[in-house]
Formats: sequence, C-alpha cells, structure tokens
Amino acid sequence: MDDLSGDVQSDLIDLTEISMDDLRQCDPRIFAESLDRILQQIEKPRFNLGTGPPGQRID
Amino acid sequence: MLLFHLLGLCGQRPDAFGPLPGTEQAWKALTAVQQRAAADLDVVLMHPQVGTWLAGTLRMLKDVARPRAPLWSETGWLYALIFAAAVRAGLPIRTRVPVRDGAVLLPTLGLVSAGHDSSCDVAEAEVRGGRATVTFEDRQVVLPADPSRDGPGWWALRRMEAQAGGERIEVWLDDIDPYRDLADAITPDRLTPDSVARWSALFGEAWQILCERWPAYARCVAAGLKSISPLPIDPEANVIRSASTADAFGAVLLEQPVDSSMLAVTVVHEMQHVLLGGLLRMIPLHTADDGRRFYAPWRDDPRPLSGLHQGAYAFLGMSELWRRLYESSTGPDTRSLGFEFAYARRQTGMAMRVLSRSPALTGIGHRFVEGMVDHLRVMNAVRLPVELERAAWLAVASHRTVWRLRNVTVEPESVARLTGDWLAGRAPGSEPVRARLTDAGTYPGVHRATVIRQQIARDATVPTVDCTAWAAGYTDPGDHHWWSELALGLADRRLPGWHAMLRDPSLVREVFVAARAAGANPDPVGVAVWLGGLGSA
Repeated sequence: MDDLSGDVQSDLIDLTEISMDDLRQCDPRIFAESLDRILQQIEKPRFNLGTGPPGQRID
Repeated sequence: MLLFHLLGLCGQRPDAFGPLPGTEQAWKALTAVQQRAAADLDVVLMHPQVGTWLAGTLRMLKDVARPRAPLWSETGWLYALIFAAAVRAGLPIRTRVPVRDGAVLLPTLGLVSAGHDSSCDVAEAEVRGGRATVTFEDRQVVLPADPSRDGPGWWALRRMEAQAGGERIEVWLDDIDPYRDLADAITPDRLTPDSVARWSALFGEAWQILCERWPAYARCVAAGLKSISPLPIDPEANVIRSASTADAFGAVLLEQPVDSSMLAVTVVHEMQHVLLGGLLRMIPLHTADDGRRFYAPWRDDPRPLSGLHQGAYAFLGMSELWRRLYESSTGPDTRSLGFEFAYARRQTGMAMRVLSRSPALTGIGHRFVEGMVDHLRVMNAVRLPVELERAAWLAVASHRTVWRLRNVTVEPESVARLTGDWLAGRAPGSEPVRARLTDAGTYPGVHRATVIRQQIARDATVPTVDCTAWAAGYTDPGDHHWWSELALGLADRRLPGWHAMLRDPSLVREVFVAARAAGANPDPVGVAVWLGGLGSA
C-alpha cells in the first residue's frame, strides 16, 4: 500500500506533550470538540467480525 | 483525553470507585506515576486491551452499556493499570485493586490469582523494596522478578516473537486479559503449552510468508500489530473466525488457522481493519450515516457505507497478498491461490464501484478511496487463466443473486403493474420499479464460493453451472438456490433473459409468482426475457 502524501492533518487536538496534571489545569473547552468527536465513535462501537476462510467473511 | 473524561465522570459520582480509593486519589496516583515513570505508563496506556476497557467503561458510565459486575470494579481497574505501570518501573506504590473471578489482571504483565474460588473483590497491591505483591484475603502472591515467566499464583502475559528477512516482530499472545474480547470482560482461557507452541510455529511461518512476499506490509504489521487473542476452536465447523475493534488499536482476535498462509492472509485482513479504524478515529472519511444500505460481496445482509469501506479496504489488502502468493506459487496450490486472488479482486471491485461514487465521502475520504482505486487498477491488470476468472465470476454472481433475492423486496404496486402488463401481452411499462431493502440475516445455505473451493482443492477443476435445476422444474418461490442457478445458467451461456435475471432476480421471481397466482402458466425464462429491457428504480 502506498502512503498518502504527508499533507493530511487530523483536526483532533494533540496532547502528546501534555501531562495528566497539566490537562487537569486546562480549560476543558480547549479539547471539547476533539473529545466530543471521539466520544461519538466510542458510543457507537464498530466491530469487525469474520467467519470462514478469507473471502467468506462478514466484515 | 478519554482517561481525563472518565475521571471527570467518576468525580461526579460518589460511588464511582466503591471500596477503592476515590477519584481524587486516582488522579494523584496517576499523575505521580506519570511524573516518575512516564514511559512505563505510556506502554500500559497504549496497550490495546486498555483501550477496550476505557471505551467500555465510558459506555457504562454514560449508560450506553450495562456492566456485568459492579461498576466500581470496572472503573477501579484504573488502579490495576496504575499498579502495572509502577511494577514495570519498580516504583514504590501501595494501592488497592479490584478482584474479578479471584484474579487481578495487570496489563502488559500478567494475571495474579488467589488460586481458588475467592469471594474477595478487593486486593492490596504493593511495590516495596523492589518486590511486587498482591495480597488477597488469605493469600499473598509475590510477582516473579521476571514477570514474563509463570510462577505461583502468576500467569505471565505470553509473547510471540518471529524474525524473517531482517524484519522482527513481537506480539502478545493474550489468553488472560478480561478485556481481550470485543467489549465485555471475559474470563481467562489459558492455552496449553502445546497450543502455544503451535501458535508460535504458525505465526513464525506466517511472518516469513509476509516478509518474503510483501516486505513493505510486513514492516507495517511489525509496527502496528501488538496483540493476538486466541478464539476457541470450533472442531465441528470448517470456518476460521477473526475479529477486531476500533477501541483496541493493534489487537486482533483469531481462531487458530489450519495453516500459515491462512494466518498470513487473516493477519493482513485484520490489520487493514486496525489501520482504517485508527485513521477514522482521527480523520472523518465519510459524513454521518444517512441510513442508506449497500450490497457488500462478503456479507449476507445490507451494510452502511462505513462498513462497506472497512470491508473493501480489508479485501484490498487481502487481494494483494493473494496476488503475491499466487504469482510466486509453483506447486499444487497454485490454482486455489489463483481462485482466491480472482475472487477477492472481484469482490473488492464490486464494493469499490459503489464506494468511489458515494456522495457521503469527505474530501479526504475521496483521496483515500482514489488511492484504493489506483491499487485495484494495478491488480486488475494481472491476467489469470480463463477458468479461474470464470470461477470467481460464478462465485460473485451467485452471491449477489442470492443476496438480491433475499434482501430486495419489490413493492407490490410495481409487481401488480408489471404482472398486468404481462398478462395483457403488453411490453413492460416504463414506470420506475419500486423496491426496498430488507435484512434477511445470515444465509442458511452454502455459498457457491465454498463449493468452488472444495472442488478446486479436490481435483483442481472448476465446477460448471448446473442448469438442470431449472430445467427440472420450478417448485418453491422461496428457493433462492433454484432462482440463483437459473440466473447463473442463463448468464454463463449468455442465453436470453440472463441480463434481467442477474440485474433484478427479485423482480423476475415476483412477476412470475404473481402471474401464476393469476392463473397463467408462465415460463420463468420467458418472464426474464420479457423484463429484459426494463430499467429498475
């Protein structure tokens, strides 16, 4: 599979460099939108299920 | 972010942690471990099964899912997670952890067991003087200095390693984590040493296949696949099950396959799901589900666009590996491999035709799908023996025909109108035919692909279409197999009526049935020929 070119960015906030302690001090509105988007996916979970030899799956 | 949200929700409920330390203590413990052992905490937090726990517990806290145990024992697993990080780092800590079924799972490490049917639901967990202990009501377990090895009261989380072609991979072989399944917590199912040995051998061989045949993808798997959880083998079923969830990035559930080629293909398939699921967490590729459903060549039921996309992406990866296996094969399996490639390629192509035209794709979604189309175009340029292409066509056409017969219901007004035209000897009217999708569930019969596989494996021949079924006479309007055989028999020889039978088998059937009910003696092929030039809604 070829990689997509590197100009695609996620709208999700990047919390890589932020500790849990710092996060607790933050205004939650900063990441509210990102959290809401992920929570929508969490609340409607998607499972991939397969049965049978590949080609007879139920994805 | 999700962990932060979980603690926020717990803070709103006085009972969130039950007999365990409360939310404020949880915050303090978490931040303390992060300050002093950030790398070890990261390893634990990024463990796929922790993702399953986190998502599932959030659903429980939001009343979207019901806990099977007291809620506090679900939320309280956070303390087991913190303790696990502390054990990894050798960080002094003393805390309490929930006990489930007499045991405590420490993610990335192993399972501590009380050793008997224990009713205690909380244990004391401590790291002191370089020694980690978990104390139940009447037993203290000392974790081994090397937690990767079993010990008294301790089941290690096993690891599989493989190396081939300069590429190395390590994955967990998880038979103990309660969150190794798709959602709800389950009990451990410890593999025997023989079974572990079989898994390791198969995995090593599958890894070698992947590294030799598709090294670029092998590097992707090495980076992204973290955990394999064995599914119980069903000895009476000739099927292999596998699964994954977007909540657990890097984890797959697999039933032990019969051979390493199957394992390699299944790993690629599930890895494609893992990759796309991870991407979709970050970047929307579709707009919200509008309720429309589509035909997926690998499913018996109608699917939403997102499901079609997941399946198409997984099949795209699988097709590529089948191609490589076929092109490098010189032995007796060559025809079987060729069929699998041809079949998967056709299935992918059918799904891509719908996906690539969908107005529900976002701008980035279009770019992503264009990339898939480009890859498929390369695979479609590979020429295969005619009989294998024909076998693949038979398999795909059969599946689609049965699917339409089972899931597409022509509206009664359209059936009545066309039946009236037929009975009156008129050409079919040009009004659009109205139809709706239903969900007939799992097909109880045997799909043609299975029959084809068995015949190719048995004597390397490709089965012909049995047209005698329809020649022998019609018996039952619900006999999907009969109508499917009719459609394939006509289409395989391009006999009159084949186009309508493949395009709209439900319509042909319904008009035929209605005409018979009206006292006529229609010929199903004649009805198909008559409907030949009709457009459908």
